[in-house]
Amino acid sequence: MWQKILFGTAHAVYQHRLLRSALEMFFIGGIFLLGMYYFWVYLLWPGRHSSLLLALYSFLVALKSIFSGQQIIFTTLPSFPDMLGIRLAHLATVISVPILLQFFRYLYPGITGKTGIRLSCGAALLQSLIIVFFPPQIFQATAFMYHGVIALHVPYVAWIFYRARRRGDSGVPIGVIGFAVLLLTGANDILHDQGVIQTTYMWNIGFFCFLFAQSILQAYRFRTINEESEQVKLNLKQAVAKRTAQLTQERNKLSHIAKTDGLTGLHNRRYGMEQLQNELNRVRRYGGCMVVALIDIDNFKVINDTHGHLAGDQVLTRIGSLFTEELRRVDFSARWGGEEFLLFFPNTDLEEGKIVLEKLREFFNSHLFHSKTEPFSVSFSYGLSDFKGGQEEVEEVLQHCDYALYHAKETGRNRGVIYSEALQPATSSERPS
Amino acid sequence: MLMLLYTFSAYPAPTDHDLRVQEGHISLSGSPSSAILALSGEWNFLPNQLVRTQSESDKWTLLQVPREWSRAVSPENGLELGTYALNIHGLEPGTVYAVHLGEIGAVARVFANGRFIGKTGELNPEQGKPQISFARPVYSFMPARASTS
Repeated sequence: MWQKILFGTAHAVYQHRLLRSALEMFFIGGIFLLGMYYFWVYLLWPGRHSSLLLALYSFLVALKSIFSGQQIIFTTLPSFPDMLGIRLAHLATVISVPILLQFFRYLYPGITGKTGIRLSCGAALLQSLIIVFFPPQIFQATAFMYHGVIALHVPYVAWIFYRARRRGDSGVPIGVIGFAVLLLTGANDILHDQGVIQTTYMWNIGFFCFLFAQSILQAYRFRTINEESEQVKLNLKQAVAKRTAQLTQERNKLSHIAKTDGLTGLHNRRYGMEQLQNELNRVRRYGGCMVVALIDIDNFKVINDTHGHLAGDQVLTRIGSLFTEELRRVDFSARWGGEEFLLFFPNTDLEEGKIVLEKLREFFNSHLFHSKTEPFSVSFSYGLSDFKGGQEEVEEVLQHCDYALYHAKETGRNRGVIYSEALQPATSSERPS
Repeated sequence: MLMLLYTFSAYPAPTDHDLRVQEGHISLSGSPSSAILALSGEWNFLPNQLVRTQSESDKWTLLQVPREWSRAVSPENGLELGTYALNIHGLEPGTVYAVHLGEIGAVARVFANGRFIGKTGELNPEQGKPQISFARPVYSFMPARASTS
């Protein structure tokens, strides 16, 4: 007789047995529910194999428990074959060992190789075959040897904990506490079984505490993963914001390039055309008047030929900066092409426009340009026309300015001419090119 | 921690060193009637022989319980067998007592004062070989006198 024999009044013994059975059922139920919880976690998150292994381990422990201790299964189902029960209990114990080891490998990945788990699985498989195919006297005898195999797992798992702790893995102390409780209760049961200490069987408490510690560990890891996920989301959000700002900047830059003349810094012809059309539409809708002017630098080809293209560029740059500095913010200037420029002045009549243009012309005339040969001054001519909300299209308004400019050039340059119908050529061949 | 404390309070230590079985005897004198005792210690043991009462043999030895008993017997016809016996003193006549065996993993018959009170497993079933059992049975009996064995 290798287990303790209890004795007392029938009432006390049955009460004792009932109480122990109730407590065991409580723990078995708790372990089973934890198993269900881990299995549910696995279903929600199929990649977490550690949850599946812990669920399997919990179910195996619960299965073993109903055949052990007060043997609840035989109390509730007296006809259940006890030989099948003892085989199932042994099988559950044996299979649970490599599952638990694999669980630790998944929990702390990259610490151990496959040799340990292979050996553990091999030993478990061998013992399982003995349990299934041999009589109980045989597998009970080999069970003692298998207990030695189980004992070898303890330092192995301790080593995994040690490496995980050194590596800085989270939640290792919680795992160690759970495993230590499992070991202590296991040691208690062995010593109690042998009559060395007078306590009680506590394996179910040990399993429950171990599994509960793992659930704390899982919760701790979920929190860490959640925090990491939040951080990733935040980083992503910041990266997107940064990238959006960069793209906006690039877009603005491209937009600026698309509507700016690179040499003079003035708007280019395409943008000038758009803005002129907008301004004409505005005058047409809200009333008022505006002045449009085309400017042409006098003898620009001669300047290029005499002083070089760099000097020509200087002239263009100067006129660009002159327009930028001297015009109102509401006025508009653009390089129309070559040495020609477009200007328009919103809410301005012809007289006011001419005053501004004359002022610009005098400023430009007074500027001395320096070349390799000698200093020189440059003039420009202009033609201007007004728009008071009539039916003229933008091309027509520009044509009027062009006629006036042509006339200014024809009548001696360095001057401005206001458009009138008399300036229109009689035939198209007389139009300025 | 609360669960552990509750468990200890729910499971009072089932024995006391003063009540340890010694040389095949244990006395219940002085122990509360509600106490549950672990009948651990030196039981009388008769190897390779099955008897109902201690008076049927004078070849008793002592064997520690709980402990594996296989080494104390020599297999006969493939069977290992023996008889455990214990004298319990201080019983109250008319009170129903119960003995809760541990998992034996064998065939057993239990007697109180030579009277059969229960069994586990079958020694000679129809299959022609013992049918062992791993159940943890509880057997009750009512002693007619203050001591029983």
